[in-house]
Amino acid sequence: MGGKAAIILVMGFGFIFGYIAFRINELESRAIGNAATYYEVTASHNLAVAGANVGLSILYQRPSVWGRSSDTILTQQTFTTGQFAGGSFVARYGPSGAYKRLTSTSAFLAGGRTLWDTVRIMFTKIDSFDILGLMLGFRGNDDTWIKYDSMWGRVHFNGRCNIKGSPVFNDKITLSKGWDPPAGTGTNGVICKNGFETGVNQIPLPLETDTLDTFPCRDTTFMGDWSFQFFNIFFGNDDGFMLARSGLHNFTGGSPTVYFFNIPGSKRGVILVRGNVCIRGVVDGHITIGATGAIHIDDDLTCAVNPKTTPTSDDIIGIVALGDIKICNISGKSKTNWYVQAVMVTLSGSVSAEELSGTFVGVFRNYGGIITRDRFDIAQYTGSSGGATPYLNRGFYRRLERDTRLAPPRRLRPPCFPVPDNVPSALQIVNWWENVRVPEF
Amino acid sequence: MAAIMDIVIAFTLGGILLIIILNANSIAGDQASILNGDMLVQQMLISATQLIEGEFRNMGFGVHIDSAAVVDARDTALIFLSDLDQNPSTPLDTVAYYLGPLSELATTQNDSDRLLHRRINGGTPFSLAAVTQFRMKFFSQSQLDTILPPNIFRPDWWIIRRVGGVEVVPPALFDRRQIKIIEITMEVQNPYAIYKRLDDPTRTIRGALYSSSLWRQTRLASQNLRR
Repeated sequence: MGGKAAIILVMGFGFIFGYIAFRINELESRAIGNAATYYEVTASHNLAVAGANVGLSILYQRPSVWGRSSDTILTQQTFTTGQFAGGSFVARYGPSGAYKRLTSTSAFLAGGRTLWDTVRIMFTKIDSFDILGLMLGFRGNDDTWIKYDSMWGRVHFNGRCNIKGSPVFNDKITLSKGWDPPAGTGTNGVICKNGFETGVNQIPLPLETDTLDTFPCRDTTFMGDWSFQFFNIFFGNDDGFMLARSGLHNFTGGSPTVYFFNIPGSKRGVILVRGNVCIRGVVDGHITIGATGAIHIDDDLTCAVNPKTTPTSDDIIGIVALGDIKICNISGKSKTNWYVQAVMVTLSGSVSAEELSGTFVGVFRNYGGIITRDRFDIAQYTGSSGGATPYLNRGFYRRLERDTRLAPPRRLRPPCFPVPDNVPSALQIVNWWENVRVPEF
Repeated sequence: MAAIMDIVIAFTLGGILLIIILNANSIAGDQASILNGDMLVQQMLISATQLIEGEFRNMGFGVHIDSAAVVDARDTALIFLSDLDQNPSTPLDTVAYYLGPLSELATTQNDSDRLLHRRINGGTPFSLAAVTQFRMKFFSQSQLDTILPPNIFRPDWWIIRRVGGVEVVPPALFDRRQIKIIEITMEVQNPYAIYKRLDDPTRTIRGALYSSSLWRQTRLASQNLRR
């Protein structure tokens, strides 16, 4: 009798304790399950993002796909091992309204159910002039920016950018070779207000052959060395003219040639100088000045209606040099503050300051854009320590600003300006969307 | 005599066993309460984090590439632009996340819980969760610079800790495009303490037993801020 009672007692206790343990374990499992769910949805989301990145990489390597007018599967992958085991993704590319769209959809098997995630990336097609305010083709290491230099507009360097102090890039900067020293170390206190990207593929710069776009449509060719001074006639629009004098730095001597560069139906505003040319003045109208040699900017070169303060201005200046573009800081000139409202391209040379001697320090302001095959070297630097010490020994600080009229939707250009044939259009990410998961409790 | 001894021993053993059962039941009840509280808190936290993460990742969708997506920021509030319906022909939406005052949940035992609000285009706020902490830190790209938004002690200045030094900027001049990375810290606790009655004078003491769960997203970066 006692034995049976003991067995019943033990079984009873066993049942009671077992039930208690079961309930506690169940609660524990559910608590752990919350964390596991978070992990699983994060993994599923990461899988979709990974698919988007793989799709982007494929697009980058296959420009022939960019123009597809129908939905195309770029890749689909299934994973059996690793973090994404039990998952798969499909990356598609195709049109979507005004944009191109890459869609990455992932399916991730977790906890007996399938989690779906989607990432959509919208692109638009651009050419470099649409976005860049400064493009340096120089592939070396010593293009130096220092404290008090500043740039408004996107920038791309095919080389490495040397930083001493804290120059300010107000828009995004991309670099093919990166910073020297790395950002946030040593003397590099660069301020990139809209971010930066390193390791970006080099952008092919305009070639001399690209001038075929400009020079065949020239209105006039000047042979030899010349000096052009531009004037604004105040009572009309696009009726500016220039006085052309033979020889460099000659703005007063000899008999000038009066030249109106904008005549509807007759002159588009494209001038070629087979030699070197000095330029300065106020331009009322639109003009592209090309030179097979160097172009010396002798003094301020501005638009009659300031495009910075009046974005509707139709005055625009283009400068295309096969050689160098030089800030004409020759001996005896005491000008330290320069303002050039022009889009400048050097096809084989650099943008530089002449005769960097003495101890002058000035400011070079540009409103337009600069594309240079070689260096952009308008100063000499000294010192190597970090902090707030200015390093400019002589030359000019840079205050550069992209002309907003160059960007869409207006896309204003100087007449027959060489949008380089060898610079392929690029896909730019306009928007990035990821699905928001609604909690399932 | 032997029968009496049997009965006494049986009562003694039975009593001990009964005490063990009652104690085990009590412990199991305690643990169940704690685990249940933990589970609820985790559920609340995860549901809120999924929504916040998802929406913050789409911050700046539809915003022009050169424009700032962040409209305003504080350490406990963020207002940003996004095209919620993905329709370019409609105006951008202004999304605000902000921590409400303590008074909104003054009736709960927990003296630190507040409502986390979400508001679209200045409309009626939607209470997303009850949290005890919601703090944000802002960084520039690669977390090179730490960006400290204005707060109640320093309402008129943004402070940017850069590699080259500290920059103090008034709100009107601060370029909000610099915000590239957000660190979010969120903590959720039970609104009611375990084993504390409403009439218990010690119920608001911080040492009271509240289930708690903390989440920190150290590098939340919307791709739309990096175009």
